[in-house]
Amino acid sequence: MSSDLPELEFNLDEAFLRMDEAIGETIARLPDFPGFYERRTLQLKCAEEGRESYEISYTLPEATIGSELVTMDYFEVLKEHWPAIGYEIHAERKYPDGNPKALEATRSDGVNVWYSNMLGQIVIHAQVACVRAEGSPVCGPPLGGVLPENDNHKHCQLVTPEETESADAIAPFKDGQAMLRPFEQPGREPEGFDGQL
Amino acid sequence: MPMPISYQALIEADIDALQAVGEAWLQVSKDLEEHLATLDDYRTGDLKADNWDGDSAEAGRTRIKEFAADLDERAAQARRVAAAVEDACSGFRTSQNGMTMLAGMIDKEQASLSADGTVVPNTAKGTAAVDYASGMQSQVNAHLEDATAADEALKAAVALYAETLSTAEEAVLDQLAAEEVGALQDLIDDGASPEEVNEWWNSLSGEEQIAMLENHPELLGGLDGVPTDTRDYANRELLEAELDRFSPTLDADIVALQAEIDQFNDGAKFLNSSYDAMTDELERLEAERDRRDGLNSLQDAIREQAATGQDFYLLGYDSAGDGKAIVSVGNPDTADNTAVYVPGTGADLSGASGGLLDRAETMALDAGDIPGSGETAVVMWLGYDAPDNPALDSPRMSYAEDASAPLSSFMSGLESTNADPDGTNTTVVGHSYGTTVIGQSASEHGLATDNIVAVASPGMVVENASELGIDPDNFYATVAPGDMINPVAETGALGPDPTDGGVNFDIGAGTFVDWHGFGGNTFTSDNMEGNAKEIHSNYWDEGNPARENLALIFTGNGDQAS
Repeated sequence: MSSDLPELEFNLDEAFLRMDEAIGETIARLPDFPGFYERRTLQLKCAEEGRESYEISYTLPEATIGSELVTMDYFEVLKEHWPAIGYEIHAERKYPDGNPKALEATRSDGVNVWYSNMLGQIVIHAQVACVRAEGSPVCGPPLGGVLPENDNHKHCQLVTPEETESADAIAPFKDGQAMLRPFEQPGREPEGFDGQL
Repeated sequence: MPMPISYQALIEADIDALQAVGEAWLQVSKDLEEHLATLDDYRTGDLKADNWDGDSAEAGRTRIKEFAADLDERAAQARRVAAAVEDACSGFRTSQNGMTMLAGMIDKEQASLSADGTVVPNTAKGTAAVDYASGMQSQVNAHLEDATAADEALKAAVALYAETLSTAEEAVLDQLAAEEVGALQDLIDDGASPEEVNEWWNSLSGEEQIAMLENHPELLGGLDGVPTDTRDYANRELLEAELDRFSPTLDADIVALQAEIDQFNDGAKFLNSSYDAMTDELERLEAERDRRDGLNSLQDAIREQAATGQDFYLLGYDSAGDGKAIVSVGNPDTADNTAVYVPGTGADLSGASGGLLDRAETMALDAGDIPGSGETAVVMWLGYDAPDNPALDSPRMSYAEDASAPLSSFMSGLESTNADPDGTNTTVVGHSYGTTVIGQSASEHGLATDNIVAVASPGMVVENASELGIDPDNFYATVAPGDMINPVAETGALGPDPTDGGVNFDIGAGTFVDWHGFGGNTFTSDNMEGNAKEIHSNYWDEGNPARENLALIFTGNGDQAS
């Protein structure tokens, strides 16, 4: 994120779709995945005029707080899964007692994914740094069974799957929009990931 | 004159029914906000400039924006009425329960309670029974008076927020305000402490409070010791009124004047005496436009809810100079944790409605992820004139000295308006020169806070964390490797580097000095692979561990920060 900002291959139009896609890829191989409770968005200004950073966060359900599955096992799974799908792990942090606190990886298109253990509450963030603030940000339906009342998409316009199809013209993803398909049931993996990871 | 609530009315009051009315108001507010979001989606989506171009399109978008602003105001009104009903229900329940308990406690040998609330002594028992009945009657009356006050406050709040005041009722409020404003002015003139202001505010009846808010928002908006929701209402009114005072032809006037100035050729500029006057006028108009735009941005930024689902509260603003603003994400009077963020060099009104507020929102969001921590309110406190230039201004102490008393007063004000000050975990967090302000304020006037956090500090004026007026174990500092502030902090010009446990350079003596460290704790931040200048600003950026650590400290889990 130096002042010679590398040109990302996408702009604001696609930022949220890309972030959701990266989170979809991240959770695709998490065993017994419990689904998500909430989705939120954030915006941060960049030092360089005309660029903005965005973030999507998904929280896991309250019932998972402190469970070994999400606070220990998933860290181990992601350490293998992320490199296997081409992500570069660049940060790993632990609590003073040695328990996992955070793991971060970057996808080749610049999307950063941050698996964060906040004293037992897991939050998965995806972030894009300093994209060109051109276009209107759209986001697809939330992943992991988030209910509409828990979908706080303040910084992007929600589009239906049909509309997302049309957005494909400006936001082409490999093999269509499979990554954006919401999970119908907690714990169910999106079928569209099969064979892609 | 207030209509007193009778004993019978209080005992028989169906408060659940009133509660349902309050919930209905809240639902109205939520419904309006949903419509607002839909409209906004249209404006920035299907109806955006890419899809619909031309004058009609622009006019349409402007109209939708105006309509959305109106809708937002209505939603806020409904929300305020709902809150007023909630407060009234709470007051009524307290009085009703108190009265019921009192009725059960009355010693029937001494006195009896009649259906109209009169405590009748058993005269056969002599003067002791008369005294007993008199004491019980006082307690009955106190409950009735409390219920009456809650009723009057609700009536006045509904009238004010739902704009249903009659001319006669307005006259009553005007009269009440006229009777109270002198006392408030005396308090302000005498330099009353926030605690004294809060005592005065709490001594007013609900109706008197509404009267003051309606008639003198300019005195209440920035006054420490006045509750947060009241300040917010006052400041939003003032902001709206200030924006209304800008000329509606301001933009057109600038364009027209610029066109006139462009008519002058180089020779005429010197020969025509009106040229200088015109350029001066243009400069004045452009400054006015910038001020208006800054205020518009502030109003837009606090219009909807934050990404956390919390409301924004405008605790103060000033459009003079670079501008000042105090905005809270969430209500610090009722939150379980409160963090006050003091920004540093370069902070101005534009940042207060932009990047600085984004940081506050981010910190509130992160803190909300800590399980069992309750609500965290984060206040962006730009209640001072921050240095503009890092090289020319930031080495100077004058900015921190000027900010010292206002920050201390603000923190004391928060403590006095907090519903549970002992149960709230409070943190003051500074960035860059903001940490110098905190150090100056803490050491000179004292800060009512549990924790202090210094992010990328150039120095905090004091030699050791123990001089900040808190337990040094509750002091935390961080700086990322490669931050441009590191060499500045090493000079010691603004005090020792709070993250440094070793050697400092004494700029006055021109030598390195050995000292025993600042004390407190340090935690990790990442440089995010930026250059020295970028590192200084990216502590709130994606994936920076500083964010996790700040959230832990704000929620009372500082021992887990690392």
